[in-house]
Amino acid sequence: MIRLDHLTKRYGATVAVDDVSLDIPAGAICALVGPSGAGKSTLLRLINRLIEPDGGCVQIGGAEAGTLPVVALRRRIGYVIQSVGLFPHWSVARNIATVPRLLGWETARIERRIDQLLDLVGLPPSLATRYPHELSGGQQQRVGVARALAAEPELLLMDEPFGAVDPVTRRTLQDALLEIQARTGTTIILVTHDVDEAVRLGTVIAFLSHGRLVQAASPAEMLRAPASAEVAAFFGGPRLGLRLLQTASAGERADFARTIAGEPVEAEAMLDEVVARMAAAGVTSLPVKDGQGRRGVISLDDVVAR
Amino acid sequence: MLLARPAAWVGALFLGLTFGMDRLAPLFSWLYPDLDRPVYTRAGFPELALSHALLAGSASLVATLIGIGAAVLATRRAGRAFAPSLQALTSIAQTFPPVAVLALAVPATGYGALPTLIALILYGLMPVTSATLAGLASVPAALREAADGSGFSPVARLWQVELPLAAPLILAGVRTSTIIGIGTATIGSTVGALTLGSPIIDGLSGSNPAYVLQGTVLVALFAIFVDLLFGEIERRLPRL
Ligand SMILES: Nc1ncnc2c1ncn2[C@@H]1O[C@H](COP(=O)(O)OP(=O)(O)OP(=O)(O)O)[C@@H](O)[C@H]1O
Ligand SMILES: [Mg+2]
Repeated sequence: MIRLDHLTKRYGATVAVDDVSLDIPAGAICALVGPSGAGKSTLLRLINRLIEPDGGCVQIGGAEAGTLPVVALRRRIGYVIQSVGLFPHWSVARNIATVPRLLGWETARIERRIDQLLDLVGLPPSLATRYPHELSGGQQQRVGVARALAAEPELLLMDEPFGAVDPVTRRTLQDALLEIQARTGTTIILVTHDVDEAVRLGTVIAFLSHGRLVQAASPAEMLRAPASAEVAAFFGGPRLGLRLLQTASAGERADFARTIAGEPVEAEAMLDEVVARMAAAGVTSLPVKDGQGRRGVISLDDVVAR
Repeated sequence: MLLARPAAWVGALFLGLTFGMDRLAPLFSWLYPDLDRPVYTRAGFPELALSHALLAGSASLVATLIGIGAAVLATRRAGRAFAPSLQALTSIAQTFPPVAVLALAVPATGYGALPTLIALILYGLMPVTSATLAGLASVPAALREAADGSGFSPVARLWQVELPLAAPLILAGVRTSTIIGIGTATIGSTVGALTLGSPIIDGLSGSNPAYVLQGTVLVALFAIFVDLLFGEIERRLPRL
């Protein structure tokens, strides 16, 4: 879907993005992580051509982005900017309607879409007529996400979209994003400083440092074999192993040939939740049940197995 | 509701005096017993006021259009190099005394309304241009990024995002420009333009303080009235 080919961007002496090559298949969620100033936001801006590269190119759906009409290209790409950037003179509804209006959708279709999106990002319909300054920071962020999603873009660039929302809402929004992604097959590139978010959402994690792409791999691969001490430190240093528990679910490790008594864990539950349950109950095995009503068992050995 | 606004009262007073100045002849006779003709008659006050308003109004309109247009061009990518020179140019235009501009314009255009109009336009440009530059600069970079990232065309970004957000500052510039214009139009009478300055100039040269008083009060009321009107418009702008 999107290919970065030796992409470079300089600002004076700083090389903000340094010879980055990366392939992101259609339907993937690429979590872009790395320390502050690593060039994550710059990379997103290169993709929707808010800035032009000093070297290399971006290919979107097989076409070189530099050759496409830029305004039309951007309307196909949803963009959540780091600083939210809602238009202060427009209501929430009008903000969400930004791209559909640019695309000339019919009013009725836009209205339906606004209701849908407010629901999707967990905002009450009554907020539609409010203005951005009448919202909390987290609510503003969610409107920003809704605005980016409005025209069902084939590519979604999100720069720390959930930074200002509380952890519980954040999880809900992550679930909503996964659901949207599963339904529409949108390719997503998401910048985050939240390691759990990267592991939870990313099908691929790309680690950037000083403009360079240090490692791009699936969460499990990256956690098992971090390419550098910096990457290892980012994912928790000595506690990195705990994050590995977030990359597999109980169902993937359980033995469905037998079961034991007790309150079962859901097969979709991640291993960290299983361990938490074990620790709370003081046991090393737990019953598992899946969506089809199958019963199984998962032990601590299964959890830590490779 | 409307009557509770000072703009309405000042406006009513201005119109009342404009149309009823003749009836105040006894008052002026009492104030200045030595004068033969206590009320200005060379032209009617309604005519003077209308001519004054048209002159100041059209100059403000032209200055506003040119000023906003120049500031917009100077903030677009193609015109960015001109922004500093534009600032400098409009400040220079402001440092010319209006009388000097008038004096310079007369040989080129002859006596009458035209040199006044030119002077007023030149004079009105500076507040509008610098206010528009300031207004456009006040639009946060994040909003321009959000607009560009959403796929606004440059023109759509200007109309839908930048100008609405710059509107309060631009309006303040237009207000200043218009008020200056109303005051400055007064001296247009020295080169033959018909304005509320005519009784003042004639009164000064003919030692008729009543004429001076009549012209001054009307110009002042007119300026205050228009200023209050702008205040009303500003009040109606959405608060962000
Ligand atoms: N417009 C610009 N002009 C000059 N330097 C810039 C510009 N934009 C970014 N940079 C520099 O490029 C580097 C990368 O910046 P970028 O914003 O991409 O970092 P980031 O990874 O998004 O950081 P953060 O996590 O703090 O948002 C930084 O050193 C930054 O100072
Ligand atoms: Mg950033």
